[in-house]
Amino acid sequence: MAKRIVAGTDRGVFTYDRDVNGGWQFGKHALPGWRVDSVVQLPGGRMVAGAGHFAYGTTIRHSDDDGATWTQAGRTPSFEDGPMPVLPDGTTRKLDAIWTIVPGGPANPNALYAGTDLAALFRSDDGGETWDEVMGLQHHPTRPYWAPGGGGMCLHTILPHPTDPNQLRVAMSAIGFMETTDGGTTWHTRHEGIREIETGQPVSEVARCVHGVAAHPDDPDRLFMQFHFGVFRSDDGGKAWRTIENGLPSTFGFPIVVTRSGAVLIIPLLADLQRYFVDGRLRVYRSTDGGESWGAVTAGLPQANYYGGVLRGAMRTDLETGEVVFGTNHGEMFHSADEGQTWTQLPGRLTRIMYVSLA
Amino acid sequence: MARATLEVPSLLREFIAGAPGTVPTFEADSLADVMSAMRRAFPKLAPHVWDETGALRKHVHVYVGEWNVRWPDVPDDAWHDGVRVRVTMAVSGG
Repeated sequence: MAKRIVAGTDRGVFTYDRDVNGGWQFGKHALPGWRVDSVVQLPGGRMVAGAGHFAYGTTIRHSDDDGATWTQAGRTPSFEDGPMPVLPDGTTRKLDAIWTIVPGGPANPNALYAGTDLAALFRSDDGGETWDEVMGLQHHPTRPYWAPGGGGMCLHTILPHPTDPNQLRVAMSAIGFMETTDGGTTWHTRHEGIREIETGQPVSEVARCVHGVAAHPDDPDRLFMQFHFGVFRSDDGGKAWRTIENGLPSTFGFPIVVTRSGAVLIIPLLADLQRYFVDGRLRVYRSTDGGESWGAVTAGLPQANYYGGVLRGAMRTDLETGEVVFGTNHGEMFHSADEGQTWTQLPGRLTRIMYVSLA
Repeated sequence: MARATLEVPSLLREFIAGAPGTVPTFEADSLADVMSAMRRAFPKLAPHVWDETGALRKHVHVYVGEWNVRWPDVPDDAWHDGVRVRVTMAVSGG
């Protein structure tokens, strides 16, 4: 069983710790006053968080004492100090948020990746103390035509390959899904079968508002995508996609996860303008046949007059234990011990939950 | 050359922390040099006060004594030994 749930919220980091009875108890509140868009606890115990503030900007911090004290990275992700502070058109790149922080996985065990707004990828090889931008992504020929989505122009999803250290996939809003197979030097869009959206940009190759992508734990080329109105599957690493929407009340949502046995979980929202649970019922939609069909999970979830949402980074699964956790934008945290079949609401109510992770 | 004390909001205090009980200070040659001298003296504070263009962040003010460095015609003698420099967050309603 996971020992800790770590949540990034618009008012700091909150943790829940496993108690002696196997339940969850409220743990710590750290970095109050900071908007924590992303936070993870690494296997060695270090917490790494992307913390920002509307007035004071965004940096990465780390903590080696379970969140009691934090240290700002010695070289935090920055465009100003990197090789491309200004875009070729003269626009200064500004860093607004650290949208996600992802360990490199078994193929790159010492690596940490961070995805940012403005859309960019950073890598650290020293536990989050120093960060360097993966510049190849910015040299993609479509770069002048990247456009933001409603949440900004963010790189929000990072999928390291489990065995190939040179392969990495990322998703950006409202740009699309890209892959590198040479360690980040060159990148390729992977959009065949995904419908275009109107970003207003002239290059349709990058007019894809991808909300989230998850890989099957046993097959990194089997991918599942939550799109801006659309749910897709690819069986060839993203080269081709097809819709998997049969039985869904809405094809709009943000998070998507695949559990250790391959169950796919999403949380449809009424959209585009409303962006809350359909019919005021918090239902997780779960597929155990790779998206061919979906069933609503309601056990343990509020089913009346419940008008919240779940943000992109606020759902996570643990591939070892099968646990799943998600937090709502109203601050409620839900945990499943059985890969999303039943849910339990955790005690307390936090602030707007932007990101969750299990440790 | 003059030496100033620096005060920042509680949220930013960890980025200028020195020895316990000490008041953070920094030196600058002149009023024109204050911003760059602060950046050099407190590099971990820098990303929270200035943006990527080197400009003060939109909702951040820096006062040298009673003078906001954004104001026009701040007199040169605002910068003097012992002056208090304050970083504040703009009060923008709410």
